[in-house]
Amino acid sequence: MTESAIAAPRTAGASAVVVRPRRRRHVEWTVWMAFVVVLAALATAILGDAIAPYPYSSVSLTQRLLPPMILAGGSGAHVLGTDALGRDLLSRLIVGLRVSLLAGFGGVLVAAALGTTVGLLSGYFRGWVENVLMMVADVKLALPGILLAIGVIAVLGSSSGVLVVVIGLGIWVGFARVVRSVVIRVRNEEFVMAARSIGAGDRDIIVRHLLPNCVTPIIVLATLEVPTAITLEASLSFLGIGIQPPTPSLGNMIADGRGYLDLNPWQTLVPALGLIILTLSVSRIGDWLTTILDPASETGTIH
Amino acid sequence: MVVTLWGVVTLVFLLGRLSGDPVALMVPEGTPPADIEILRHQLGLDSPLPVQYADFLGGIAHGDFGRSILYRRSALDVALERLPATAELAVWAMALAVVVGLTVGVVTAARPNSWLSRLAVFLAVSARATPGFVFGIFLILFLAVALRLLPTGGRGAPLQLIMPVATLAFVATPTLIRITRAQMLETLRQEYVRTARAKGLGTSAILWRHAFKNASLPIVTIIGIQFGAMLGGAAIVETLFAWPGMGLLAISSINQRDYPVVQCVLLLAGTWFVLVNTAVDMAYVMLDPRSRRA
Repeated sequence: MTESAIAAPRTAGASAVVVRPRRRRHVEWTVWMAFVVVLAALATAILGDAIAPYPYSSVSLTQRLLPPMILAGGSGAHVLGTDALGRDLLSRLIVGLRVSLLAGFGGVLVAAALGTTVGLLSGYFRGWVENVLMMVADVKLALPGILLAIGVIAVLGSSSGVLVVVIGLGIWVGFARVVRSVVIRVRNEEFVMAARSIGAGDRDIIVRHLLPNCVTPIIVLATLEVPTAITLEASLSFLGIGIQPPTPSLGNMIADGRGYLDLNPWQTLVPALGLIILTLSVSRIGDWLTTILDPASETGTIH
Repeated sequence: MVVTLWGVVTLVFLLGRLSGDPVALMVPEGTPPADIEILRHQLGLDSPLPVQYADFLGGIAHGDFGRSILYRRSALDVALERLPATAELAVWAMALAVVVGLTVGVVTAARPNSWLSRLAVFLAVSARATPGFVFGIFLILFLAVALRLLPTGGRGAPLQLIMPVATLAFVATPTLIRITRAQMLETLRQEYVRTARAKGLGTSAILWRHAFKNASLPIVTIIGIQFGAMLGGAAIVETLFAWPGMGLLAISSINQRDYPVVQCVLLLAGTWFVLVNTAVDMAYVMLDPRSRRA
């Protein structure tokens, strides 16, 4: 059922790509911007506490709900303003960024590892292995990432480890499908038969010959899925079942600000805009990678 | 369909046993061990896992989905009472997403180089990178806090429906635009479209009567997947707008340690997805005579 459902838009998307004559590639300025934003975010996240002007949980009751510096009432001491407890928003944004990136990249790593394994096994062995694994994938599709996460967190509670795994479980199916389709395409090629004829075992063929062929689509899909993972983390933290206070994440900062939208919208806007700029930049890079590395296939992201 | 449903049930069963001790989820901290033991026996959790699984399946077959610890009655009833609120939200949101998504998709495919199309595609890409709850907060900020046009949450008045529906639709629309546009671009390159144009048909007749019909099948699939998965987005939208549906129930049940209710919501969500997609498969047969022979 869902098998055909997923396959249809993929092939359709693929044939919709216009093949243009190859010329020297012109990289759009938006892509450069995106790279600058992502590298800056990574650097900020790695440096974290070292560059944050205040400790992220340092409370100041006289400095509550300040707007950003450039607005009336703001002060140079708190560049992006403060929240309802007088905590510096810039410092919290810096630390929250680290949490979001960790969850985003960590979750995608888990998803890629799991999905690639499933894809390799089902594409290589076909038969009942494929049927069982693809049935598991269908079952996963019936439970959207958020709901699956709700189920797991209801049982195990929330910690960053659980969160990363849950995000990975939420988005692995795309990797499994893409890797499987690549493996099915190349498994009967001559280099695989050659490897088999000189006595290579299943594991050798899968790891040394099939896996390398999947690397490009995996990288493309991973880049496209990072925004999904970051969004998932932010959503869960926003719901109060992700990263727990006092540790800031972009999601729980937005949730914190909800009650003060009329007093100081910036407490919400700062993390919200940060989140949008981050996901927009990563997905811009993902789209760009898709067009240069994988022009023939539209790696659709459906969950 | 049945296999997928069985898979969902099994997955939910396994989820519940992840921690090894489901009772720990249900009792407040500091409960005397003797009481825990009694509850464990009452729930059959002292029997081996396969026996528990058989009981679980048997219970579901008889419509027994466990009892809510907070409400002290059937967890299924508790969850089902919230279904209409969620369904209301999902149906309106899907309708909005389909109207906007298909219109924008078709129009931008018909005139891909106009500035309006470029703007629409740019907006769709930006929207795809914006989490639904952030969009919802923007709506609250502008429509409720700044302009004081709409209430910030709750359910009852038609006005309270606007922001939750818009937010839920916002998540589904960019994908619909993308797929519709890709399908239409593909279809418009076909020979019969040129023939239609050559025999003097108007643009709108070509677009909607000829091309759109042929492009519609994959779009229907995506609509099915989106609608089936809408309960995920509903959890967020309902929390944001205090909309008393199943998603909000699931979140509050986690905080209340009412696991049977969470479990019921997951089962209903999985069933919803499977039913919607089965309906889509049947719609396929009606829309495409070729698939009847296969």
